[in-house]
Amino acid sequence: MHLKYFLKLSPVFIVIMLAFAACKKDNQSFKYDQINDIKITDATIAFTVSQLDSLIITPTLSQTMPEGDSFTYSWKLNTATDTTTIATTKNLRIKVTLSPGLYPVIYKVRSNRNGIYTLKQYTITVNGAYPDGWYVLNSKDGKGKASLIRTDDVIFDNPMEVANNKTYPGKPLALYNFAKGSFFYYFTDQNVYRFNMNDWLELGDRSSILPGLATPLPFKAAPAFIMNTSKFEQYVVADGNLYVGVSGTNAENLKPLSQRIPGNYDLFPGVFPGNFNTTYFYDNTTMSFMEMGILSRVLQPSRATPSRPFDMANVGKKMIAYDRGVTTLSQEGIEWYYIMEDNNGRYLMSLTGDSDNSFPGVNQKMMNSPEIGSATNFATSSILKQLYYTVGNRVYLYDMLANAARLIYTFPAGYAIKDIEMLRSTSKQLVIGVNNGTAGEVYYFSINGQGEFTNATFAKKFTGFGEIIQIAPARQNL
Amino acid sequence: METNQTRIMKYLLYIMIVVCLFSCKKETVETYQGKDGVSFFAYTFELLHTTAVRNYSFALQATQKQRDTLFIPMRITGKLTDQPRTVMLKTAQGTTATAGVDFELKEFTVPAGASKFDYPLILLNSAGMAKNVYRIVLEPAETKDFILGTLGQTPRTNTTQPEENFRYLKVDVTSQYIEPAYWIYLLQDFGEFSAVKYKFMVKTLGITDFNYDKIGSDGLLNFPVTLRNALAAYEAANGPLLDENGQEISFP
Repeated sequence: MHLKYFLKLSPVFIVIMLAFAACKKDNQSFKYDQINDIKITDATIAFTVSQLDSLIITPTLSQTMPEGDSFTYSWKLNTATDTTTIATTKNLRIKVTLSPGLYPVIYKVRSNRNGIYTLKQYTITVNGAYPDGWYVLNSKDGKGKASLIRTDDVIFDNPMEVANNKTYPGKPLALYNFAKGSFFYYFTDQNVYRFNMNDWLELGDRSSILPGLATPLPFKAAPAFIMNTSKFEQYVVADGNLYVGVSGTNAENLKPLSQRIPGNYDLFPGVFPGNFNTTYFYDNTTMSFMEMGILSRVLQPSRATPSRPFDMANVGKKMIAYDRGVTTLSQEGIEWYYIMEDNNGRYLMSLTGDSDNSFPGVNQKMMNSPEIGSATNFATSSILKQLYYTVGNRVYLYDMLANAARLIYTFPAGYAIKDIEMLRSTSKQLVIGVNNGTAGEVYYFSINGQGEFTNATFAKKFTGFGEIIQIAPARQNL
Repeated sequence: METNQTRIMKYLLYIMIVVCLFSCKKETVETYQGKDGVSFFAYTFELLHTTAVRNYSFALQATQKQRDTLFIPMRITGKLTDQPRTVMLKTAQGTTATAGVDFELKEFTVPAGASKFDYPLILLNSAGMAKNVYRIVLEPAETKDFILGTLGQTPRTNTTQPEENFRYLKVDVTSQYIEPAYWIYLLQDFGEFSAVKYKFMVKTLGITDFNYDKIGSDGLLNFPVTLRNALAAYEAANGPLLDENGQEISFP
């Protein structure tokens, strides 16, 4: 009887048993095959190259089972906006036509046998063809030009005309480089141009840069240009008038400068950014500082500072020259030195500041300083309290704390120093442009710990320029 | 022989097996059912669903116009279709403008697949506008394709501005020199609005639309310099320039 029940119920049990059998524990035993393990073993993954130069990268591959495997290669840019494949060969061998910048590049090696691939990211820094060095404005046979001494000491005589295949007439007045925006302005007495500092292609002229110029050309004196500390505004002082424009941070964001900022003023050709908000100017008719806030187009007298070393609203002296002192690490507080003059002599003054304000720093009559009254060129150190000035063919070193100067170098008779510039990033190199008649020469001097020239002579000498007008730093744009 | 007990057990087992077969069942996802809707939409900061009014003046246009089109952003809620559909607006309480005289509302065909579109509101330069500002309060009308859409605000995120779907949109239209809505962004750099000042700006700068989108930070900062110089030149020749309220025009 039990058997009979069992047989009758058996289909039910079978179904239930099947249901239990449906799930089965997997003992997770897999069979592995060895595959070719490819590795890119290069230690050097960062490369720096100049635009238009060749870049060659020869990666080293290691394989565990090289027999019978072959590979497909690719080199692909890996920036947010560009993922172009630049090569499909094992080794990278290209002429660099990329714009200056930092490019991550992904190198991919894919096995043709099983499709497994390995990746490596290289970093390529592309510098401009003319990235860094010194601009030398000079004039030869009545023709002005901007030459460049590149950091590797290669001299480009007139890259502007070569790059643009046209001539730039007029007497050169001044050149100002703005590295972060990778452009520079070139002022002649007849025009103003903007160039890309990397390839020297022209980006515009007066009609797009200074459309509202208030005074007739030619410019009577060299205009001054600088960006404000936050790099949002650009300022030009030309023939006493102030023009302001939105700058942004690169050449594409640049807007034309405004018309002349209204007001009764006549500015010294110099612009002195203070903190992020305020930029200072000097009016040589009222002999007082003026200022303009960021996003403002109103030029106003600076506030009175009677309890400070001098009163910004009433300095009472004429500005002769200026140069930079210390810049705080955050770049939000720039010290400016000024050479001022009144009937009693010449004075060293400074504006110093922090992120809140700029205020008068030093104010001292320059004593024990030979020929200071006829000095024409000035350069200050950003690390030592020292200042260089020149008269004729002589270079003097002025010690601010001792308030005394001494002769440290004399060029041969007949040479006249035209311009001196401090290499601002280190304050360890002074560059001097000298004219021997109409022949221009440029000298690099290394500065030692005491501020004097190393070995009491120049480190490098460059000749072959026309009559020098200005030396200006060309700063790398990265 | 089966006892009652074994018979019951047997049937119970059959029932259990049958129940087991039905125990797992794919769950259906409820989808939205209902007629598709349409509403106005704007970023919340524009305040267009609450206090702000869109305004238009025939006086502030580059050329003399008898009619113009004001494009009004709208959004569909519900399913998209591959067929064109029609949208219609109607006026609501508070409207002072006259249909057919000051404006025209026409049926608009929404392109297939569109979820957002601009409704073209036709504005007519009527005689009454020279002395009056007329208000048109708009709301979506029911059509064969749409009812009023779902209203509300998208949540604020770090990357997007919250947007709102809303029912009533106010449009003020005139041919007088009325202060454009964008003037609040110009106030600091251009000063208070007046008809005379606006005309002076148009004459000096040669443009009629001073919306920030058009003039940019560059125009916002540098146009006032041009205007201050032009005003100084005007004043030197003619004396102070007075506005319609007798106030002397100035730029900060």
